[in-house]
Amino acid sequence: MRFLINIQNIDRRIIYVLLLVVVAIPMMTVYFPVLNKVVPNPQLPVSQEVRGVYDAVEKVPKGKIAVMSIIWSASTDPENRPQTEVMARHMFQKGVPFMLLPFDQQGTTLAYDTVNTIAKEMGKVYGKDWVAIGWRPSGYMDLIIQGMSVDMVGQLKTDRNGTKLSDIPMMKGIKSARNVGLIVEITPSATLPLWIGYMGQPYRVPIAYCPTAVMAPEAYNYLDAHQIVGMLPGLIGATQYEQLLHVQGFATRAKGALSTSHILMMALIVLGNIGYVLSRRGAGR
Amino acid sequence: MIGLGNSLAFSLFVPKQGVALAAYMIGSILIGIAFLFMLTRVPQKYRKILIIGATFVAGWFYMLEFFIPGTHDTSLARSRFIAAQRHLQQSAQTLQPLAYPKNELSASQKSGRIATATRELDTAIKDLTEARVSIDKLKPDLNRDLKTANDNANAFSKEHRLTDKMIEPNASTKIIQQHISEIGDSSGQAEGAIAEATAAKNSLSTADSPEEIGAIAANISVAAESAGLAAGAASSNFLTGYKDTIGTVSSVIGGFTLLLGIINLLSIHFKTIAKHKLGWPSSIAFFVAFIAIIVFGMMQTYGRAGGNTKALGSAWYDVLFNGGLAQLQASMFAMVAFYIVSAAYRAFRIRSAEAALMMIAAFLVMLGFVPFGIWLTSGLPASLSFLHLDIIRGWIMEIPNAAAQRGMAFGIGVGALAMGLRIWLSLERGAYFDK
Repeated sequence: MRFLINIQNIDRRIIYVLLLVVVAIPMMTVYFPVLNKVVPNPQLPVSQEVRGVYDAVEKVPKGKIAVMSIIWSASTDPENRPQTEVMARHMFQKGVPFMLLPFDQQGTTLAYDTVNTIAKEMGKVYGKDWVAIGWRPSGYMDLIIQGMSVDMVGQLKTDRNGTKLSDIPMMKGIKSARNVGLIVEITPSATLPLWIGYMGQPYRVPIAYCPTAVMAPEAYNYLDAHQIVGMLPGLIGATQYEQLLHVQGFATRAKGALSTSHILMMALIVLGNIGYVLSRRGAGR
Repeated sequence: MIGLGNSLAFSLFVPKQGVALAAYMIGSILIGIAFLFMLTRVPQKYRKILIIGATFVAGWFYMLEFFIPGTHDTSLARSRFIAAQRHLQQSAQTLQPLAYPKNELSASQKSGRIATATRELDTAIKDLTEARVSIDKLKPDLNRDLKTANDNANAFSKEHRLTDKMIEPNASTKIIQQHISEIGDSSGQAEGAIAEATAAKNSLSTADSPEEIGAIAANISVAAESAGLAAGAASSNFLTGYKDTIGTVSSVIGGFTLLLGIINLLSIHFKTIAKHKLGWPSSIAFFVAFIAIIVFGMMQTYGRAGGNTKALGSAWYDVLFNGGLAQLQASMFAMVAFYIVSAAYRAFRIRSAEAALMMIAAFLVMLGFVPFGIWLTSGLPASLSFLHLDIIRGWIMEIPNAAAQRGMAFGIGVGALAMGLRIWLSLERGAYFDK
């Protein structure tokens, strides 16, 4: 009984070590395949919101480009990088040319490196299949989106290497929001309304949203109102997308850790409450 | 005299090249400095009035651009396209139950649904036709306006002997070109939607099997998408074309605020070191990091391609930015996970019915998101699919969560509007020079 009461006061260092262990072990399945038999790693049903993003990429009309807005940095790398990877991979597979448009200094390099690696792996050519813009300040995102909607090349002018956009083959004939077939917003920030307000709604451009899991609840209104076509909620969204693409990347590897860490947290909360209830009963007597 | 004044003012803004351009740049900087100096001489109470006045006038640009009706108004066409899209979606939804063989509907239910879907299609076709006629009427006017704008621009270039490099399409030409392209796209989409909707209506009268009806419903959905895309032709007025110019001006002003921030930061740390205040070694670390990232960044950017300077700058910049800053930030956020688990364990106690409700909802959402939770209920039979944790999670997120978020969004929106007005009208306490 005393043990159960004391269980509400586990030393925090024990909790830290437990969390480290339950996250690290599933992530090591790639090095120790035997762990696959121990850690539950089931196939996931693909949710409607994830399917919506997939369908939107499939439907981008020929002659239009996708804009991938990058507003993430190293802090949300484990969630936003897999999202960037799956989106780039799908667009390369489908032959949808896309533009990386970063609004975060770190994200500029991180997203470029990520996409560049996939492009090399899939034999895609910079300037023809994709293009990367240099960093743009997020404080002026609204003005930049408005400018792009009317005059894409005039607003953005050059790519990250200083090459004029008008000289890049992929950008031939790309003038305004009318030439954008899909916007993909990858971010842990609440910047989605800017894309909806300045490009999505006025020019009827479909928007796919890739937030961190903690930001996902805010987007269900937009999903309900069809202001976004779909969403990849955090890492689990990227995991489902990898399943759709039949790819096993970081997101698939991390889904075991996602389960075990949540199970640990729920178990700790339950144990803490058992101790709490018992201690109150004891005090009542 | 007025003509002479106008022509003088106008010629000041004609693009320049070579020495004239350099003189203009230096002159602009000098005028800017003189203007700032004059501002410092203005007494504080007048300075405040000046800033309030400037803020008020600047705010009018976006206000007017938003409210002034479009020169070539597409709002009627837009509203018809959106209405048509809604009718097409309604028609497709009405047909959906007939596309599933498992739904055993009576003959009267089936014919009722087909009649409703056909009615919706008729209304959509009518709306689409009206919208297309309305949008096509704008074409001759726009072509005439574009010709006039181009003629004016050519005459101006000729008069001031501008080279091709110095000419950029002006705002009015750009906006008309944009409009013509939008209207062309819109008209094309409308034509496609009308054809798809008419074909769907004709085949609906003979369709019988669920597969046929399913295919028709899918085609109607495609028509609905076309109608939605056709509504994309935005209305614009004479101010719309200047939006990106104003955006550039705002970016430049923003750049100056960044500079102001840097000066402020340097001054604070310099004072901390000079007076040996608490934590002064950290201020030295700040200066070292600040100077190092600037120096190596400049070496990386401006070093000769293939040279040692560029390679050294690049290597050190990579160490500092990607190896240092990015990794530190990632580590800091990774630690948050440990604190969250520990805090949830300590703080999440069922002290009331509301706390219990919240905990149940939190558990269901967490389990519904993670693979283990989804696997837990995946074995349930189809008749109990509503008990699948991912389905329950979806319901919680889409219904109660969305309702709460919507309420919050409305509240925040109204608050932001009020705050925007207060800032615009300089009613906010502590604005500008108030202590």
